[in-house]
Amino acid sequence: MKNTLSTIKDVKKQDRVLLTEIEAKQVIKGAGIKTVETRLAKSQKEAVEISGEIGFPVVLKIASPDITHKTDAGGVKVGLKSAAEVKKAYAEIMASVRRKFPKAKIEGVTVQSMAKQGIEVIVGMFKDAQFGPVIMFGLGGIFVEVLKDVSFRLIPIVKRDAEEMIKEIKGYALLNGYRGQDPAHIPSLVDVLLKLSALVEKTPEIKEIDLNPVFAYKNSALAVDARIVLE
Amino acid sequence: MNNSPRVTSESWHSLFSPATVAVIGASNTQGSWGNNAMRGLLNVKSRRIYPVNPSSPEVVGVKAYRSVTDIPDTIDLAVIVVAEKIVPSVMRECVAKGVKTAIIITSGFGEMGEEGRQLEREVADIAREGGIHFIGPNSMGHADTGTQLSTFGQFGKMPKGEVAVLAQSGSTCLKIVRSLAETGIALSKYISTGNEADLITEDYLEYLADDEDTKIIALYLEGLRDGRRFFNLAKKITPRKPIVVVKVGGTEESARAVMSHTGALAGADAVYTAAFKQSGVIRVEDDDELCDVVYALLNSPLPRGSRTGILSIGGGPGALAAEACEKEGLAIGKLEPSTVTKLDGLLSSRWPRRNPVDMAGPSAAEMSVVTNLLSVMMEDKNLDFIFLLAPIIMDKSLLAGRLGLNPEGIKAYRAKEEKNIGLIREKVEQYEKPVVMMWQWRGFSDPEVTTLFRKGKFIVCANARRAARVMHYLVWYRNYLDVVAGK
Repeated sequence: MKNTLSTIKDVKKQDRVLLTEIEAKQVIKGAGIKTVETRLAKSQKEAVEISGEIGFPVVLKIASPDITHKTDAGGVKVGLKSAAEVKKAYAEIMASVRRKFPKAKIEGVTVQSMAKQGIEVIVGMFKDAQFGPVIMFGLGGIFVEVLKDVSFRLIPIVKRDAEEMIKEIKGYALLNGYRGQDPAHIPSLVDVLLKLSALVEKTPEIKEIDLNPVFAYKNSALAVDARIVLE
Repeated sequence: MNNSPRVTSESWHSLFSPATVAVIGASNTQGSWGNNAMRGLLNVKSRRIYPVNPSSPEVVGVKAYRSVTDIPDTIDLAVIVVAEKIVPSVMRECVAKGVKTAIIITSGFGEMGEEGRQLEREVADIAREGGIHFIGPNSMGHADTGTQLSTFGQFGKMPKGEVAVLAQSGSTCLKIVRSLAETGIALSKYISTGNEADLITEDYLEYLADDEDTKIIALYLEGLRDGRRFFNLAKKITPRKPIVVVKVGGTEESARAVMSHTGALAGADAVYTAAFKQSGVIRVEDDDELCDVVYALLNSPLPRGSRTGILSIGGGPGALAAEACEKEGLAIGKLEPSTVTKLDGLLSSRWPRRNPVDMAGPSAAEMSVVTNLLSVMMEDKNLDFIFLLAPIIMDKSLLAGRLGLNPEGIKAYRAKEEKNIGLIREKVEQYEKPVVMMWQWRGFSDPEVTTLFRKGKFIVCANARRAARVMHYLVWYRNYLDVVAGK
């Protein structure tokens, strides 16, 4: 928690409300939610070094406070299996971003290990004008984009609320695995929901959170991307 | 939450048990609000009613005053029915007079756009500074059956009951009140809350939480001012008193500005749904369901589980009921072998030996067997409640017609029925197994039948679909209560 508070303080000092991916993941990790190891590389050389340390394959993403939709900016490269691929990806990202967002402040790229594909879910939080902090759970991908198959509860939640939220979605059966995919470990998802609820309860400065996607595996759950907005 | 309530018990007392009422805008014009309210209030002789009308020396035979300030008495409640433009000045006079509380029936405020909103704020500011809590504006009235007070312009005695109705729409309030009355349900209090410029739904809820006359709270909601407060109150109330809500959508959705995916996905209604679920509030679809659920809560224990037993006079009604149950997530219970054996002894060999139990059309003369069949099914451990699709109480016309009974015979038959009903009722209570009746309708042509339904603690629904909905709600509520109680 101490880490979380100092991260938030720093962000506020810089007059920002949107945490960087690395900051957001620090906060999430501090709350006890497993997340993909993500580090900032300020140069091509650093990107290659960090990739070696984390272990291939890796993902590179543009790190810029001014770019919200990283994929659209050509700022994301996945499945990089060697130093050479990382080098090339770094150069391509920079070229594309500089072309599309010439004015964006660029800090470098984030390097993160390529998470093994699991069942994609989304966990999030926002503040409702009437009811205050609300937590959300849903299946990721098209289920959330097209079908809006999500459930909500007011924060704070208890274990039963978390379990109900998960069971409530129409696509609940998909969490049991399909087409040979492993089933999702429901207790791990319950744990993510409870920890997110606890984080929000203790940190009123947080306005919105998206953990999208969270990969659910047969024994665990992993937040692959995190986005946090402050008040 | 704050420990001292926003509205004192003295204010509530003045609103619901006023010794003195001023009707500002009382009128001699038949059919006007000011005339109806005035005449309705004269219902109770012990209450002192003062009409205020600057141009008539008396209203409906009662001496009238030019202004509320001229009344030579203290005023507990002012009923304001004047034109909207002069409501601010009337409220100022009420403050000057030291009026304790008010209800503003007048419309033409916030519901009419920006100009109306400004007028509404002006009135609310005057009242707040003067320490007057008020209902409305744009309220259709409020009523307390305990003190026989009604500002709705109602006439005649109001039966006392245990259900309170709160509605953010006046006409819906009266529709619900009427529908409940038609099924024999009397009320404790009912309030058309209007635009809620001062007293809001959350305030009334806080009051009703501790109101001893109220056992069930029925709500019609369009939107809340303080959702968290509602949520916290509901959480405290629902373990003791059920809250049943009809909520229609508002426009809050469009007002939400968010950066996150999550926020964009959350419609206002989804958050209301979540809040209701977490606080044990039974959310129903419409006013019909509201009446069904209130009737059931008043007359029956809650079921212990979701396994339905169906006892039907024929195949069709049983099949309809089974399908309705499945659609609502209710299970069709599997009969215990001992139940099958017992039913074998009561039914013809044609019966299908499974649930739904089709009694295959007994004649009117054999209807007394229904009680025995029902008793057997109620003892089955695999069934949590029974859908009864056969008459168990006979209409007078049927007794006289098909059975050809004379008045004496009918009386004897009724006595036998009452005994049977008593037996069923004991089982309903002992096993906590509701019996849901949908062959005959509450408020049926024969009032004796309706009375017996209630004596038997039956839930009575118009059809299988509505019955299945009701049981779905009751099963959910029972489950919520069990979890809250740590069971």
